[in-house]
Amino acid sequence: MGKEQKKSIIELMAEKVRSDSAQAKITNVDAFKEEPIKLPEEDLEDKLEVFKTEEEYADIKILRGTGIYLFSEDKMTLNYAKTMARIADKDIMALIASTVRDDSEIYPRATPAKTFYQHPYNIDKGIFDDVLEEMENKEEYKDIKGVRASNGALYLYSNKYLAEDHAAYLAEDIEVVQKEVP
Amino acid sequence: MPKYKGWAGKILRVNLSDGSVKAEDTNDYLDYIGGMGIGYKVMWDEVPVGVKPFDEANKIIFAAGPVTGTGAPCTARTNITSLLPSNPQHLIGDGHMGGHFSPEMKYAGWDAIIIEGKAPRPVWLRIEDEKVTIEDARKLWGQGIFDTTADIAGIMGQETQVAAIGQAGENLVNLATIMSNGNHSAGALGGVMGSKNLKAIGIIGTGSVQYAADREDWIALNDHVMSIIGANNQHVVPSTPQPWAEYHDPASRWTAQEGLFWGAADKPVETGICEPENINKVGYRTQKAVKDHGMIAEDYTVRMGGCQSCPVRCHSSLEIPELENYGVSRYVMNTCMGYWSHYMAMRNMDEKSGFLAKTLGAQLADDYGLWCNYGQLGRDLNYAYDKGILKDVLPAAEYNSIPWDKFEAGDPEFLVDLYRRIAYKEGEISHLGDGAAWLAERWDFDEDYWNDEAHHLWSPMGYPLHHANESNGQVGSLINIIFNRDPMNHSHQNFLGSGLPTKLLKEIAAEIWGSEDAVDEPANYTPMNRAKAKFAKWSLVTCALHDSLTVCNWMFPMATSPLKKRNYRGDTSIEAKYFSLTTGIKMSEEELYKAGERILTLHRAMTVKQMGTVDMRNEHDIIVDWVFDMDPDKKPFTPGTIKMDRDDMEKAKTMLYEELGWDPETGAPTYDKLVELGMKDAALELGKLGLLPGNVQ
Ligand code: SF4
Repeated sequence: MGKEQKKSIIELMAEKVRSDSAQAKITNVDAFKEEPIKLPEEDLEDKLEVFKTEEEYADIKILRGTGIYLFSEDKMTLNYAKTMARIADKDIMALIASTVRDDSEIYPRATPAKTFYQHPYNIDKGIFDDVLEEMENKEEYKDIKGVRASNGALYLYSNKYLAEDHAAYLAEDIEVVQKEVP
Repeated sequence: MPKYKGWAGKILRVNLSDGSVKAEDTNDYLDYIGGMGIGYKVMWDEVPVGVKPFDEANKIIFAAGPVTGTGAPCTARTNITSLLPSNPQHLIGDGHMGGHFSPEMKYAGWDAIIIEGKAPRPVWLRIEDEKVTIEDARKLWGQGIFDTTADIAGIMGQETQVAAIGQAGENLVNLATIMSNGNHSAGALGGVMGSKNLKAIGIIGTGSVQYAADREDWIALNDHVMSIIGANNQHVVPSTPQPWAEYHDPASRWTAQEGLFWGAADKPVETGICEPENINKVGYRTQKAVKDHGMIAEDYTVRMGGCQSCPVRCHSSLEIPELENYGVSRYVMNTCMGYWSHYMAMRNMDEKSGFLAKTLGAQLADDYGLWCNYGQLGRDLNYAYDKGILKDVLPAAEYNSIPWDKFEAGDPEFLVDLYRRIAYKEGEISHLGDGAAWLAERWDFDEDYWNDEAHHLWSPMGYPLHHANESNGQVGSLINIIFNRDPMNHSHQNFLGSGLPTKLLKEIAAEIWGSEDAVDEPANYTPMNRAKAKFAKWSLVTCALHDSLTVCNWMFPMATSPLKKRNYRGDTSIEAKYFSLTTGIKMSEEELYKAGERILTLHRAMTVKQMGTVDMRNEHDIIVDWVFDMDPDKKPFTPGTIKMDRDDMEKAKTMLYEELGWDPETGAPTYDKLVELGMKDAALELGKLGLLPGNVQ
């Protein structure tokens, strides 16, 4: 048996990304600075270019937020990776706003506030309440609104995509109606 | 000998008046497939107009279809047909239950059991393959369903499948169930069994159900189904963001996730991530206890259970020691309304008392065999209480003997008292068990009872909405007007609730019903169009088919799938493929739908015959006013309301009638349609009665 051929840096990077993705984690490029990869900062963009262009790395995708993140789409969907990237960015306001906007636009639905207390967001309720209050005063989050179902549960929506009445019904539907008519 | 595979080939006819037991040939019913189809045909042919549900001349038919017992996924439903005691005109209807009863019936060699007459004293029916005896049930009479089931299994053997009634059925409560396996209930018809002095049916079958196909073809189809199957209700996205999933939906029944357990299992079982490709984890996808009760239920969850041959398992089995404080077992199993209806009979509860009310209520109602009329019984109680009606109609001594303090305090123990009174017909309050239409008349409810959306009533016949205008507007509304009780139809609901974005559902809708316009955004409706009529027809026809084949309408039709590589498309031809592979009769999806239309149209014809009018539009297909008058500040077809428009709904009826080939004006089956569906006899009979549209003779 010959000695296993030493893996190239790009192979090690790909291996790390695929392994992280298989464990439901996205990979922050900062991780490449560590052993055993030890990627010099100035080489990063070149390596990312390889991921973008070479067939054997076609599954590896790049997301840019506050940080730069990679994931393997064989192990993780783009939507999930986006969510993880937003969480990794640690900008809770942006995380809440983008999640709520996606829900309001794509499905469409209002987003239960409790979503953010649970996995994978895991935001402390007290922090969440404070952040929400702060968001009300920020121009860039003016479209994020709250509405309560008749049982008191808070839902969020973006008024770019959903009218208030519509969001209110959708919240009531999931919170109350679907339970009475299961 | 059965002419084809799949069917057992024989129907058991038991006359309880004279004690006769006969085997008849299933071949006479093949055009009606089985289950519901056999039930309607027997009722049409044999139960004259004017017979009442508890009359000796009424019949009750337990029936299965050719696919049941083959082991194909989700195919163990039992359809039960008779006259509905809760319907104010005693029209024809069904209850159906899951469990293991109908496969066992097939293994014993029977496609259906027709019960007629009335036994002179309480009896139960003992079926061991060909051997059928009518047994004395005097020792069982007065018992609840749990003990009855256990006693019969004690006599016949632990493999016995039992369908039984409790005290509610014995006492001819209109809202009574027939129950198998202690938690699979068929609502509405328990009193019919009681009226025949029939306590239970116990079955052991040692045979098998054969299919016609090559083994490889059969396994290939099973594998295909397992590859596109979702969670319960064919929800195809998880309830939380997960790495494999492009979409998620907090309302999804695919609740499995990391850190969510069956917490009371001997060794707690983590549901975890259940990628669609991992078919060995299909049974973990639906952690139904937390869906029905919230996270409080996780630690009490022993496992999921369900029907024979179902990989999905939608019933949660719970161990709740506190239930013993109320004198019932700590082990309880049920799902959906089987839990929720008891919550609706209560008020002022917190998370824990709500959980206990749902589970205690399930224990009590499942033992008494009490039916909730899809949650209406509890709403009726609250309405009559809040309006002060109970004080007026109950004698003071009776009123004062009811523990209203517990009701007000949200103490689940209230249900112990309430359900006993209803099941034993104790006092005036027991009329809550009559059903909404009878109750409203007896207690002289005001118009607001019918016209307040909070009460959820849908029809003057006294049934509530069941995925109606909240489910794609006109589509759900149309589905809710055709039957004589709540429609128990999930074909449309499974599709709409799949969890996929509306844009994708619209694409799929265009492929199935010809236009994206078949589907609206939730609560952002558009006026009626042809594609919606096709969607409604498809839902009605497939549901009738499912209850005839007999397969689970909480899983089929699988119009969507969890697979991105299929662009989330499911496969609506599965039922036709199973029918063909099982029976050896090659049948396309369209041809099978034709059989579904036949069954649905026979139900309509029977309703016309019983009501003595062709004017179904104005006499039968009536929707109460709140549906059109709710949200006074909003107009129909504006975002945020499910309010319907009266003229638009009449147009919707017309389009549905046209799609079904019924008379567009009256909604009654036409002579031509009945003949086209192979029911010339029915056409001639209706003609003789002057009950064909345009009075064609
Ligand atoms: S989904 Fe539920 S009702 Fe349907 S077959 Fe499975 S266990 Fe039975």
